[in-house]
Amino acid sequence: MFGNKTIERIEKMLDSAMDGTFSENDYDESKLSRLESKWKRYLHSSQLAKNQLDETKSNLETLIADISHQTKTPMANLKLYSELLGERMNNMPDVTDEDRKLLSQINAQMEKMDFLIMSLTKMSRLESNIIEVKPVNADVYSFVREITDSMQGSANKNGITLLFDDKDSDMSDNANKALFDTKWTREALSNIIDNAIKYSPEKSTITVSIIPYEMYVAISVRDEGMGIEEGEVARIFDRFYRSDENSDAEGVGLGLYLAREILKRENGYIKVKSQKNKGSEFILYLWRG
Amino acid sequence: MLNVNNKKAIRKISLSGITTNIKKYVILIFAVALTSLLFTALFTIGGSTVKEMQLSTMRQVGGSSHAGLKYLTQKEYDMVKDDPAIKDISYRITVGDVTNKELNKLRTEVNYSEDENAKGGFCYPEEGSMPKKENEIVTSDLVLQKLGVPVEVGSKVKLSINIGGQEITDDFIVSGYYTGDVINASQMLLVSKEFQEKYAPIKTTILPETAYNDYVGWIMADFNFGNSFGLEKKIDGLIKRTGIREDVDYGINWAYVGGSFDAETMVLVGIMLFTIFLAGYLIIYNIFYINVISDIREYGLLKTIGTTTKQLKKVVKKRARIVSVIGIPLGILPGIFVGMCLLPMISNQMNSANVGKGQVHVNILTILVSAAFTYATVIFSANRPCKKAGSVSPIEALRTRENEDAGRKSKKGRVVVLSLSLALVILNSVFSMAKGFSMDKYIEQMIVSDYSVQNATLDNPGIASTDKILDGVTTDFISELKERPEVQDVGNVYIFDDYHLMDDESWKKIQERILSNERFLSEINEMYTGVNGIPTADEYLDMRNSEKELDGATYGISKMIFDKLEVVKTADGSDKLDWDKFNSGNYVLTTCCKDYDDDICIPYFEPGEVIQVGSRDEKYVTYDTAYGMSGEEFEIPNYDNEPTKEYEVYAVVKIPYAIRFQSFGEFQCDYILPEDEFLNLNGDRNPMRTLVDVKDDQEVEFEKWIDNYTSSINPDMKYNSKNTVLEEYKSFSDMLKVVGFTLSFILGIIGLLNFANTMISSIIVRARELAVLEAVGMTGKQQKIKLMKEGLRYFVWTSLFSIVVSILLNITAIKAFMNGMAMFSWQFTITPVLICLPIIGVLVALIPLLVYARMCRVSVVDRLRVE
Amino acid sequence: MILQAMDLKKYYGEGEAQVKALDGVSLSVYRGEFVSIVGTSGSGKSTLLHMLGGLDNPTSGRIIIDDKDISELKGDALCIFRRRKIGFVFQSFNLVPSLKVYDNIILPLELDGCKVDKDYIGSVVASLGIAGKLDTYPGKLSGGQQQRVAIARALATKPAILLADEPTGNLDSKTSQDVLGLLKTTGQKFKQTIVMITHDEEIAQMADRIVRIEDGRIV
Repeated sequence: MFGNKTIERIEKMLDSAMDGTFSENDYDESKLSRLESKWKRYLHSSQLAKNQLDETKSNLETLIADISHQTKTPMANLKLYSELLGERMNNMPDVTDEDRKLLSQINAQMEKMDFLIMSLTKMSRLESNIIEVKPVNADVYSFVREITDSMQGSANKNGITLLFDDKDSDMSDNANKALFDTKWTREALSNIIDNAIKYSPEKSTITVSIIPYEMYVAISVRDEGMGIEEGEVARIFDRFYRSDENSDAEGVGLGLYLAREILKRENGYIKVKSQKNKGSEFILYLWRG
Repeated sequence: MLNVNNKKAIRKISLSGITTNIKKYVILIFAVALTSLLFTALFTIGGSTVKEMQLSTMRQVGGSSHAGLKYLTQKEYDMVKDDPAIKDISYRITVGDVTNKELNKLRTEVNYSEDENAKGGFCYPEEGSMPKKENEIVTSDLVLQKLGVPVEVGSKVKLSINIGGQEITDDFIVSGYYTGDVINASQMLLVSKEFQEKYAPIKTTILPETAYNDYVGWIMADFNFGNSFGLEKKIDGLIKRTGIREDVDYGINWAYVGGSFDAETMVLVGIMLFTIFLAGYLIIYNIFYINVISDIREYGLLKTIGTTTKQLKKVVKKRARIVSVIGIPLGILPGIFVGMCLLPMISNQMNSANVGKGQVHVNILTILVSAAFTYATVIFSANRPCKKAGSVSPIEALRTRENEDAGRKSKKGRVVVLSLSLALVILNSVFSMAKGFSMDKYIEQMIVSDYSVQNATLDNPGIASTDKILDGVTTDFISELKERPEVQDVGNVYIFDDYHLMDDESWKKIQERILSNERFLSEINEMYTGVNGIPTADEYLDMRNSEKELDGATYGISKMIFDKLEVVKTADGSDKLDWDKFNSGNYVLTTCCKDYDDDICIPYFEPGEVIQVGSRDEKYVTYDTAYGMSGEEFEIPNYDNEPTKEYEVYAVVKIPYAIRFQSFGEFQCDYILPEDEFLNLNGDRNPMRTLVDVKDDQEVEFEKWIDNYTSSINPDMKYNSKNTVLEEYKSFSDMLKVVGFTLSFILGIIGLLNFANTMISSIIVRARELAVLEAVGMTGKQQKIKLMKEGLRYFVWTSLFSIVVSILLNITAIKAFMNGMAMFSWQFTITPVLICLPIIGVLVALIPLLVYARMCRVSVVDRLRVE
Repeated sequence: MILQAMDLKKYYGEGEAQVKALDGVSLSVYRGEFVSIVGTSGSGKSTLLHMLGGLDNPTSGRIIIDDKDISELKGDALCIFRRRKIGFVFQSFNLVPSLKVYDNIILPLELDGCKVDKDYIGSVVASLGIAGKLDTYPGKLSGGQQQRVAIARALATKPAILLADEPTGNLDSKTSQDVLGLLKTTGQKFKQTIVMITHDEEIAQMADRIVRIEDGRIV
């Protein structure tokens, strides 16, 4: 049987392998030393595989970055030309409504493409940790206040009331403090409010409120839209998910995915409650830390 | 296999389970302490008694050393003294004997002794110092008293000392003295080195080559080994190793050779040990089991998170150990105290020499053994709870376990019923014994007259029968007694206790009646096995037949004694004997073979037969030389040449215990002659015993006189009075009661504790069930009745069980035991059980109520919430 | 795949009185997944969880956890397997009342004689917000806190799979949210596979995947 020491050595070898600091100890005739060499070889080969994987991933990453970067100028140019075309069409007498419609279609698809590329870039950066989410202790109340204020315009444009309901908010010192990255969380919250605006009927209200928990501060965004099918709830956070019903609305199906990823990185999460034709509630749980 | 080390986890779980649930474990610790108390008390009593016996044997033997080598020369002594096996060694040198006439009956040896040897031999001077000058001596106060010299340092005394046949008479000065012991075989008189060197120089030639009969100038070495086990082997080894002559005389101190307890005592101790073990087991097991049951969720939970069966068992075992570590020491001190209180009562009843009775000896061994027994009990008790905890199914533990508990009830109930019944049964047994202890019967046995006077050694069971003085009632005493106005009647008992040589005709009868009787043959076959140097039964019978001797005594009795004899058989069938006929000098009374056994009496001789009784007159005595255990030489009187006289057997009788010499030979064929005829046949002799009846109203004065006489005028004599016997009786029955009732009481407490514990846990386990019942409208009163009924179920079972067992035991074992002992007369008893049962009944009804009241402090809602 | 259950059946009783608690359930769980099993009371979900955790034996079928067929394991071997590979979180918390919080958490490790990885335990405890409670006894904690301790204990051995049996069944809705959130986020953080059973649709929504069970079958 093994001596106690040998077992302990092997345990130590494994431990150091797990945190990646393994190195061979001595080279001698002992079986332990041979084991160490074999172990090293194994680690090396698995490390190699890991490195290859990382490399592939980073190649992919670069590719996406390149695509997004390289498409920027053509996109800008396309936009420019399309605008120019629009202006020229205004001066042309024989332009039909049909022609104008086609142009606006081109513009819309271009907008969409632009948004898609932007989202993909963000997503890839987020996923490959190129952009780090850096949660700091911040006040959720002022954060929400600022975002709802800034999005009033967009809401009004769609004939929707965006309400920050702080009647029940607890304004005491630490009630609304949480650990989050303001920049990225803004992205997430805006995406969700944006979605709500997009999918809500006119004259409806979107209510934003803060619910403090012991471990989390939750931001609830409640709309009076069409709601989500029960079976779909789990899928709405998938990449490129779009409901069949609103395939006509704008969007590329990355917003919720991004929002979920962002909150995950802040040790928080998103939850959805929805009832068909009555509306949905998205709740963002920010970890207090 | 190399296993992972999880001791720490086990320890942590075990310990914290106790510290956070201390209330639950306090009762367990209390139970362990109680068990430890009982064991410690028992071992304190047992240990002290053994120690006392050992001490008294030592004093009889006259030394505390493990062993001794005798009759050594200086050279031989030097050979052994540095042997590594010997822890300490010291010696004395034999000088001679004191031959002063006053010391005729107090054998006094003269020795030179080293200080250490004197200390080991209990003769180091308590006052004064060891002798230094030639004319200085140290001796015992008894010797000084006998010599009529004041017991103080500096007294002058004239001594005659026999040194190897040469007698020296000189004046000596007492340089010191020690307190002598009557039971000691011989008193010591220590002389100075100077004196010894002058008169008894150390021998230079070894014993076998020295002239016979010269016991002067030998070195007697006493020594101790590391321990007292296997002394015989050790001394053999010593002799071989040191190369000292193989035939050297050696002695082993009896005190260290076990076997000082008889079988009866061993059985008693065994029963006590078992009872305590059982009591401890019952309570510890029950409480432990209940603790495990109430913690079962915890054990199940531990199992779901991966604690193995083995580990769970370890946890419970560890808890048992922790409880032991706390509980055992708690019980030891009170145990010693209880032992100290009971010891005097118990040791008074022991058949031991009356030296230092009731002295408590507590040593580390007592404590260790008590602790070990308690620990063993705890561990044994924890066995099943361990298994229970280990066998927990994690799923079951996760569920509510009301149904599971139902099955347990009967088992727990059995323990409760058993422990309560045990207390009652023991109480009943003790009571019937105490009640059946018959004073008349006892006193009849112990004394047949108001007073009995004899030598102090006579009825002392601690003294070997050969050392007893059989003619201890002095002529002085008898003449003074005659002067006493209080005396109504006086009777003397004379005795020679040795053997009877038979003529051929008589021997033939003995052969027919006794030696070929099946009962005796089977006894003889049992005893004479032919192993270890013991002859075979046939060899023994051959020897008897060639010698034609039976051991037995010749008694001489006065009329008063004659009237107290129990008649077994007469020629004419009547049970009245005529003193005048007997006193004519032609008749003898004989006894039964084995007449000390109640149920059989086979007469040696039939009334009307003629037998020869041999004289014991000193004129005709010759002496044979014999050697004692330790090689010392002594003489045995031989009466074979004495003249004999013919007598006709008048009747076969039994001599009451209180009258006879209370020592028995193998056959004990006794002849009884009238006083005058006895003296006529044997020459002058003092009585062994004198019985006195006193006028009814004058006992106080007489007692005063006789007490004074036996304490200051002649302390060698001792008297028994009806009063002392009464006291003895009282102390015996007191002991019986105290020990029995203490035991019953403790067992009763244990039983009730068990019951309380069972009730508490059953109520706690069902707290939710009860709350549900309450929620659906069962009133508190109804619940209480429900619980009381449950308690009463135990009570009913206990009643049935204890009554049945008590009755059965009473009419079988106890009846047999009491009928076997003369001092008991059996009577059927069940009263104590009947008296105690209502008390238990009340408690049994009350305890659930108390527990329930306690539970009710928690609101129904809270109880409902508990899963 | 970390867990695979194949055609699990559990029958109680015989003949007419036979109850099919599980009637041919097959289930696969992938590494790092958070799966919830939803079903009404009596649907067989608890039985399924007990089987998956090796607390109970199926009448037939196989369960493979971390490439080990646990139907082959018996008695103490199963117990040790459970200790090393499975973390349990129960509805009734099931903490050892006599041990302090910290000792409760490291108990499975100590039972295995392991050295405690203090950094790891520290981070688990911090994520669960019970760092300040380590020195108290479970009885002094609120239900939510107790359940958080139970989660920490389940995570302590870095088990292959964490099984949660109605983890919020004894908690109010607000605390439930906390506990579920923590279960989810710590599961994410420590890349833990979680299987949770519940009767509550909303709670089930927390998972990545929902499996529904009715009358002993997966629907």
